Amino acid sequence: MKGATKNSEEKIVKTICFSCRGGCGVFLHVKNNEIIRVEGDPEHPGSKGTLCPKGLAVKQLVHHPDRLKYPLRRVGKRGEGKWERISWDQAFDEIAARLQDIKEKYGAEAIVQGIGTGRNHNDWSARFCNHLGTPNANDPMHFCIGPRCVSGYFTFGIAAPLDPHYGATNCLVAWGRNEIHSHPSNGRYIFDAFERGSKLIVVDPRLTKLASRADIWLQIRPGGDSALALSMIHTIIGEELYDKEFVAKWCYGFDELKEHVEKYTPEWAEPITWLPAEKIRETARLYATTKPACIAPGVAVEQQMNSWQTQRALYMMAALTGNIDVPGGNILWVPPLGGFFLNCDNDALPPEQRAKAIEGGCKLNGGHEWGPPNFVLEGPPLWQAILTGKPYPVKAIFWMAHNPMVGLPNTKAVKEALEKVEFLVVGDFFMTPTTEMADIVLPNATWPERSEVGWFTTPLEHPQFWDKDEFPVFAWVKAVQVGESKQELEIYNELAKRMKIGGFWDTMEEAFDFLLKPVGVTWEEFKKVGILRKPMIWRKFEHGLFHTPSGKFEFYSERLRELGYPPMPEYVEGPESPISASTIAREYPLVLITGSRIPVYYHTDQRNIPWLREIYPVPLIEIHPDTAAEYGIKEGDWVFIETRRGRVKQKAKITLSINPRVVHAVRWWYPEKPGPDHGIWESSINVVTLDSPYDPGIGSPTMRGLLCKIYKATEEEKW
Amino acid sequence: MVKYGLLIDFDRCQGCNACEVACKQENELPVGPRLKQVLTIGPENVGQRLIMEYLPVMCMHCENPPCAAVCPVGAIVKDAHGITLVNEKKCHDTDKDFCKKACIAACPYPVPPQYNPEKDIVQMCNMCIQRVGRGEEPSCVKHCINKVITFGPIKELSKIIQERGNRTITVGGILPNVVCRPSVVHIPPKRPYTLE
Repeated sequence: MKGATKNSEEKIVKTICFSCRGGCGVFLHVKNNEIIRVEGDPEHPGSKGTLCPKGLAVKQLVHHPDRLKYPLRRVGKRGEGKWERISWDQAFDEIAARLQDIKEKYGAEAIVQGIGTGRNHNDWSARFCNHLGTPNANDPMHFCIGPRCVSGYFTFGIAAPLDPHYGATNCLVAWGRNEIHSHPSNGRYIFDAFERGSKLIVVDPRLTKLASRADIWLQIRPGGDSALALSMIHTIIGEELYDKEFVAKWCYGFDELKEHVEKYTPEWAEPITWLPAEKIRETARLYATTKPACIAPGVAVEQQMNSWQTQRALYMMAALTGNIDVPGGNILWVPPLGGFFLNCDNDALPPEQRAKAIEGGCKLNGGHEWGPPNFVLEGPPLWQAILTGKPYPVKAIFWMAHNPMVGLPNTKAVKEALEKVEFLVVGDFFMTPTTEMADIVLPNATWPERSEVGWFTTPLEHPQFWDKDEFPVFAWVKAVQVGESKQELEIYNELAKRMKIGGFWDTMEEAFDFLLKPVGVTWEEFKKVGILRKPMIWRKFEHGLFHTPSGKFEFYSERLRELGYPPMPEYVEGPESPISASTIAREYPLVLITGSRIPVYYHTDQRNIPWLREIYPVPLIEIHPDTAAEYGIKEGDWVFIETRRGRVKQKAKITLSINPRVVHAVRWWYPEKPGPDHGIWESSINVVTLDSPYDPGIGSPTMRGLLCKIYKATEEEKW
Repeated sequence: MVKYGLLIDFDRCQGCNACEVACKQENELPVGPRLKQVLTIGPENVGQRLIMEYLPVMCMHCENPPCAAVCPVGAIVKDAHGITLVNEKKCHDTDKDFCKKACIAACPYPVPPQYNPEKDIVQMCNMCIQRVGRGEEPSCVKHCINKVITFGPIKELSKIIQERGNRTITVGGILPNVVCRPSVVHIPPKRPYTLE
């Protein structure tokens, strides 16, 4: 089927779906530069011919009538929605000139450049910043994946998550991760595991299908994760359920850990987690005595204070039980094209510039080749720099595929900063509440419009590859072109050329050849093969893969102690919880969690895709029937969710899946509503989430486990 | 002629809706008609447990379809494979004020014939007969990540039903099933649950 031509007009292009980051194999049927159909690629080792709804609806994304097709320059007032079409040359010249001017006047650090969810360009973005000389690269890693990477670096010496290996596990712990909706392509491997008789432990405040069939479901209080993890470690050590051989040979600081967790008894954790102590013990026993076992940690843990320290505790559970880098356990993540984040060219940024980074995630950058990348916190310190010029002015923001007006907490603060920033460039597929604020809007290429060395197609989404492969890399092949859309790499290439900064290339093909150099193939060759495979090696730590100072898996981290952070994870209560803020809880008595995955949407994307919106048309807030009765709310009522930051409304879904003391609201905006705000103030839950205080190490805000009150919207307040 | 059916083992359904969008694409459907749907069962208390399941449903391809029986112009027919098909031209040419889309009300199952306003016809699952003719699986079957849905001759499906413990359920109730004799059969999870 590959490359076949059906008739003179229709062609079939084999490429990789990137409607999320899963990277499933697809055949795009294309006629006259239009995708007429998408089919799963049965040869793809992960997806095996299947696709999820986001991939299956891709023609409605690519050929959506509202797609941005040309670069636009703002002609009215900021946010007024008046634009003129400009050419790419004009756009590049103007952006280069403005950035150059700002760099000369205020220093390169006055420029923030970054991305939203990675679409295979994370390294290019960081690389551009490093060569431009700004330490202020931004990547929303502070609340997604970053905590896993940072704690990985400090725990086992690689800035990568320890991914679960469902393929051979006998006990899966889904911790704040509803895998079958987050990474639907992994579902089959999980259900296969059940059919093999694998145990399942689910830690989730919501009843999901996984929770409903779990051996143990811990309906934890949102925010209680670190207490639960520490009390499970207490039990595993106290009852001597740990793998003594692995701990003695490969772990550092066991005695310190043992002493450290002595106080964290399940009885201590009971009121914090809302879980019976005996159930915590039972869970620890089931996990520790079933071999092999894997933990699948999710962003629920990361969108809280203490994010990376809690992740560290989860990794420690895997090490204590000897489940590191063994089939069915948790896998050390090592890409075949060199280390993850290695193409950021961190060395290109002079140390004196790096030292100027605005407060945030980069504080925990080890400056080590296996360390996490630089990234600045998109949050209060950056907004302050824009609004007050302190510690120095930030004058320009350049964002690719990023929608922080919907995705970041505390929308009001984001908007204030964007109103004030001198020069804002945003690239995206559509007009969003963020592009509406820009001076120049660039049309980004969707995945069928781009070729890539898909090394960022992560095994996180396809852990099952690890059966046979160690991080396969796939070729994406461009199938269509809509308007004048361009992919980020080309934009960086062109700007680097005009601004005379190093590190980039004349053509994208040269960049691809550069990426492929370590494996000795060219882009032309790779494109034909479509996949690079490398056999899996288990127990890689035996070959020196723990890049920690001790060369071991570190329960106790000297590096962290030197940097002024707790060397072992501690229990930290979130800033706005019934425990830490009992006065606030009197007015806002319910615990609010936000942003669980809706299976037909990815992050803030796709609300405008008709086939997907039809399935999930309006934002829903999940409320327990008892709570709903108490507040006089019926199924389908519009309900205000109010926190100290403001209020938005979503539609009531009355369900037993949630604890009566907790409500859950989803991320939302209305692409169809008029700009500049597209209905965010009506229903985007991040209007009411909390950006500060944030985690001191990496800047994670609190988007899960806040305090709110709810009440029915009156007739006039509906629409 | 070999009779086809669909077997839905919904123990493995993860509620991702891939099948629904696969169906939308295959049939080039506008917003409105949803030939394939994934229903949620629960969450509900069953014994000591809180249970939820996802249930994929579509046209049940009855041997005696009530939709066909009530259509005043005979636009709904059974083909030689036992697939329920709509004669699109006949349906389109019929004044809907006249027929009152009686087929929709006549269906006792969760997904009755679906009205497509763009084409002014009702539509239902046709087991992707055009794909089957090309030697491919129906789109929902092919794209289902967890392999919940099996397509094939009813004889072979019966074998699978036996292999999996001969447990099937009657989505839509026992009485309609006896009368209508659907070619789409659901195998439930072994866990306890109730169907409402």
